[in-house]
Amino acid sequence: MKGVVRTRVGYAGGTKNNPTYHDLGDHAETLQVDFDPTHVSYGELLDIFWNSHSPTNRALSKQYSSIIFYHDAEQRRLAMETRDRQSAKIQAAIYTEIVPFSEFYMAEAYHQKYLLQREPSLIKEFELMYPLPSDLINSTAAARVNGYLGGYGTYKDLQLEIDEFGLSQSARTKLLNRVRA
Amino acid sequence: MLLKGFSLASIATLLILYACSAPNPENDETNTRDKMKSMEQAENNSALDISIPPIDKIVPIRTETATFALG
Repeated sequence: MKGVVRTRVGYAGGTKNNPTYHDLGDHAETLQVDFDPTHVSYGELLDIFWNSHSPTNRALSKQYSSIIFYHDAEQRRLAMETRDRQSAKIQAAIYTEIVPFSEFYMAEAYHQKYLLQREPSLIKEFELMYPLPSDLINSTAAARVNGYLGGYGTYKDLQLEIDEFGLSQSARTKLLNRVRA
Repeated sequence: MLLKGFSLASIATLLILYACSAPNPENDETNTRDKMKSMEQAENNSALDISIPPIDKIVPIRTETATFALG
């Protein structure tokens, strides 16, 4: 999605310090997105949030809860407004919590850019560009390629911006073929 | 007799040392293969543009953060 600058996965919403995947405590698995508000709005991200999971079932554990962590009053307002709208649209109760953001703990490197990591020829090129995992996590190009691999974005969108990702010709062809399939 | 024995032992030691240090054609082949492999690898790496992707050179003036747990 245009305007998404960085993405990372981690743990938030609990009280345990420094959680890990195998010792999560009372945290939920969480996605954090840095975005450029001149290209994409928080409301558009909320639309994706509501349409990419099912918030109508009560979570069996905190790990898999549906939660919006708002960062300011405007985000809180939009979260509540869109929750009510979504509930009316699907005519069902929504169990998504809307809570203030407090702390985010980064998940282990092997969880980051998960779909990209499953494409050896693509991840190899990114690892050459970014030998440090922290730099790879902060790469917009890596976030966008990961998004395309996850089925977000069209073939036409990809064609328009693929030159910006710094990939070799063979990697471009592979990515284009994956998205076209 | 003792001197002769000593000389023979010395010659044998020298021969063993020479055999160990002499170039082994099999080792040479392996070394050449390794060298070629690393040259190919270097060529492959240089064929890739391993500089920072253009999109990562663009720093937005302002970013905001959104945090979600998607169940």
